Amino acid sequence: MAITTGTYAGKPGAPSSGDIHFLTDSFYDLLYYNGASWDHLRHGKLLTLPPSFAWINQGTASVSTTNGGETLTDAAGASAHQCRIRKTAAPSTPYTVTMAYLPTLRGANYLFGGALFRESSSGKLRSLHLGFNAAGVIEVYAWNSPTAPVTQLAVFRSEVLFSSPLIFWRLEDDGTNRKFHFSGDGINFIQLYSEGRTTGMTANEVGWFIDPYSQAQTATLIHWKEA
Amino acid sequence: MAVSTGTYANRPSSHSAGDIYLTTDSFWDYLVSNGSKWRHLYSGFECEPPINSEFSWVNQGGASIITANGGVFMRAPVSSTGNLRLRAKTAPATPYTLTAAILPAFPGIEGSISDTKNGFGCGIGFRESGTGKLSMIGFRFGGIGVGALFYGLLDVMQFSSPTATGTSALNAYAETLVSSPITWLKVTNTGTTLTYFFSGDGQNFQQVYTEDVDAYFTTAPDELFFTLSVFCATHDAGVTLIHWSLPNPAVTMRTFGMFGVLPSLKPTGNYFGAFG
Repeated sequence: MAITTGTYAGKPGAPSSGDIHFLTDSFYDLLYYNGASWDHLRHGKLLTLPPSFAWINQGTASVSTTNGGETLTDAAGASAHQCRIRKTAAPSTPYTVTMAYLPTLRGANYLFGGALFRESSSGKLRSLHLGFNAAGVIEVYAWNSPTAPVTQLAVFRSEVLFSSPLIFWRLEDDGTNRKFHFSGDGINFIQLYSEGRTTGMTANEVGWFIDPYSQAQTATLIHWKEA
Repeated sequence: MAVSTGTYANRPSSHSAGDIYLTTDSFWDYLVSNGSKWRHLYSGFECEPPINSEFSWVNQGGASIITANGGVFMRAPVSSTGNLRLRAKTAPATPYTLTAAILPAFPGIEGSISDTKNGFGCGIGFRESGTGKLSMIGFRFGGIGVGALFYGLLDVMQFSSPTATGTSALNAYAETLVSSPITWLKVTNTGTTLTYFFSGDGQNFQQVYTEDVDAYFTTAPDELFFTLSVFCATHDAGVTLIHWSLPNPAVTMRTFGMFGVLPSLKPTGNYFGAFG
């Protein structure tokens, strides 16, 4: 067993099972080599690196994976709703998608970021996001497109998140209903909203996004697990 | 020294001093063996995992417990009236100090809460078994006063029973706690005085409230508890207790918030700035 310290990009290329790499520029507590790949651990939980996403409405946004995870940035700001979306095909139902991200999000209207369902044929969205809408909020929102919010389906004040080191978000399609959950410990989830899986749209894609609205915004996705 | 990884439930029962176990489904950064037990470390702080069997239910209702991941996760179902679901245990002889860390998961319901202090809460505190009275420090989402707006709050609350409407001995807005990975709670009982603290770093605590032991209680509390309260007809709530420690009374130190440190500011909105 070897213990090393360095950048994420500089993690050993030929490790042995049991090796540990402490990071100097990342978001994970450490990496543990399981014999086949590096496990990414944070606060006692095994996190899963995001898959390869495709863009929807990229605009001036960009992504980086230099430090691990996927960092999504739109430095320009948009002065209107412009969801910068990273999406992938949804798993077969029933499924859950659990994600954790680290937002760099100012308290200004209407900056959002979070997880979403998407219907590819229409471009419609259902988002579960953290953001600011007159107050810090968690919202479930219906969109006709990345630039056209339609209806606030549910809203919760976000102050209650303050005492967890990392909030986990979960999308679920059980084949009948589309559900939205969150968790303070990453293991036990509380449902926030549910609707029929064909209500307004039928999702065949899932993803994550930022909506920079009138301000620059950055967020880093550090965990994306489909089950 | 051996390093291994896996689920919390599968941590090695045989281990040597210096061994490290990296959990994949728990709340602590890692476990380190001292030769006889696994030490649970979180952000450089040694936690003491709660032992669920030491607690008993008070007003359980439909609440349930999960311990598979190491801590004690309590889930409480919707309730159209106020209900504190408690896990309580006998308090030690005074003087004593209880320190705890909890991870709440309850939604901040905006617009669906009446002006009767509906909402959610969680925390730790004292119970007097003879009268059922409770006094606690914790977090909740609710209003300050009838008709008030609703906020995340750090509160000292007192209840004549787990189903009674509580009164706030202290209200403090909780937004200033956001930059700590976890907010630590502490209560002390000297035998004559009950005192309530919180901390942004787990080492240095700030006192927020104190009173004589019989100021609220008829005689004195004889139990300690942690709780999840639900007063919401539409959503369940959860809370995970990851640390429950009863060491010697601690010396309290006041920590001023600065850039780059964990804030332990008394979050009273107007009176303590985020930059000290």
